Amino acid sequence: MQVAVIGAGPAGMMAALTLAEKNIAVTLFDEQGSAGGQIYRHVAKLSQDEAQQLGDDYAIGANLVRRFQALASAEHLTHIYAATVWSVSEDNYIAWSVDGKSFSQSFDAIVLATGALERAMPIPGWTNPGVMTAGAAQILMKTGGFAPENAVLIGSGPLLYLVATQMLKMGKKPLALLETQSAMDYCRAALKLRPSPVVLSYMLKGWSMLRKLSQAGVARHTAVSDVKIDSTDNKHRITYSRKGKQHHIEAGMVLLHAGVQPNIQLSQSLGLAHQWNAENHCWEPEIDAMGRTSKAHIYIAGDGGGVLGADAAKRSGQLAAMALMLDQGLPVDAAAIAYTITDHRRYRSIRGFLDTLYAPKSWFQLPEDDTIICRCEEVTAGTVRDAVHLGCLGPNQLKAFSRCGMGNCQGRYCGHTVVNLIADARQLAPQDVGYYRIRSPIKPVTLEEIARHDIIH
Amino acid sequence: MADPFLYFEGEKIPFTDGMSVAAALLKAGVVLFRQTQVGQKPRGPFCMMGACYDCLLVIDGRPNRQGCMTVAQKGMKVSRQSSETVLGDG
Repeated sequence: MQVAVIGAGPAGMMAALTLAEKNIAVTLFDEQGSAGGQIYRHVAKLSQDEAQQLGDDYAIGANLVRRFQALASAEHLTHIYAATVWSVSEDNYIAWSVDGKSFSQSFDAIVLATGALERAMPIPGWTNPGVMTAGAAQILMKTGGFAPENAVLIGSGPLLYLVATQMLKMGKKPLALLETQSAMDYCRAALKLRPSPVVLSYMLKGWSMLRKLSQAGVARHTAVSDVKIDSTDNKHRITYSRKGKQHHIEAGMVLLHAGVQPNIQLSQSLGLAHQWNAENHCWEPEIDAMGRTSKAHIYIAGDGGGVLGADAAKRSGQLAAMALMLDQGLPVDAAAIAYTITDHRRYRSIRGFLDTLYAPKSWFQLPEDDTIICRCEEVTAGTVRDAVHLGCLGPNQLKAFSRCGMGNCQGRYCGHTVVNLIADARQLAPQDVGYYRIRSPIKPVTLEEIARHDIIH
Repeated sequence: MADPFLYFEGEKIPFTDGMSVAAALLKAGVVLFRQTQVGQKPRGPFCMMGACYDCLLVIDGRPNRQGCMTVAQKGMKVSRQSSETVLGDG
């Protein structure tokens, strides 16, 4: 049996380790040069002190990455790194590209562990150079050892605070945090709190980060709305509303973050069943408690199956591996399955609170007409609304109307905005609007490279 | 030993081992990477994780290279990508 795992974050590494430790041949594909995913990016290449600077939750990842690397040299586990998977076909053929050369190979079973993407925050000026996601700034800190100067962070969610505190540690105090949640959101979220060890741990971490920001004198403004960015050279003038008044602030760099959602490119391209997650406002694949999808031999582990974070991802990687072994008729300890399912489920307890408190706001989910929503094809919200008035029914028809979602990123950063805009214009629920039909190649690859690709038998 | 460097528009840009081209440029204060094809608008890195394709550069003569996914190499010749670059070139 040959198993493929796609993605070397915590979920993918744990799935691959669990299988390889049972002497099952595993090939793990990952786009980065070393294992870790975005969460543990570069961690094994840093010294303990350097990693610790970015926090315990990051530094601890080095253990898992090193365990994975130790086994990745053994015969059962092959790590194909710097590899862009551009197709997973219905007959379980995976096609990937390494440095301009493509290959394909058939597998008996596949675990998708492709993680999450930051939710788009389409506001005027979000395409300007010097405006990035908060996650992008975190990648600079992890891989480049530096943080942006005079940054203003805009949006909401735990990652906004984490990135801000990491920047403090690196001596680059952010100028301000412009946060979208309001006092009412805090009240609504409080009602969702259910005491549990996971909830307590999250609350303590959150409180500790907010205390660090406050001690450092970082300005935090909540209930911010209608943000616009005007950029000239390396200067960004941010305009925003708060309590009915307009304010301005200048920044050296602008970091946006509005939460994370599953990366569904591969699961959509395989035609797997998906459901609308009304709490996290996104599509996600339908999976059972062990990561089985609507298609036999395809499993999903980690945030790609629903955002629960790195610790849950490790458990879901183990669960997907165990489900795969069970389905192949291999023995798996029933007690281990039951324990891991329960252990994994614990991480759901905080979601109601986080999803309610940091819910995306309609002022940026339904942008004004002249705001670009598709970064690649430079399509505005107004163009989407016009298309609907002309009779466009859904995201796929919209491609023909406007090329929205047909550029390089393949709809990754406009897909959900399009769903929201069409749902709003047609007075439908998002789940009744559907999503783009994602087709291979899911990442740009030249026709020549496809034509010349080697099939591995 | 001094950090190695790459060339961006003819200028020396230092980088450390394992850094991406995009990270090296951002550290040097470069945020403008390309002009878009549709609206000839300036763009720079956005996601830094290979998803958004906004950091496309011409690297060693090959256009449409993702700056954030290309590991910086000593002596690499990097330049901005113009709006006339055709998708699929390279």
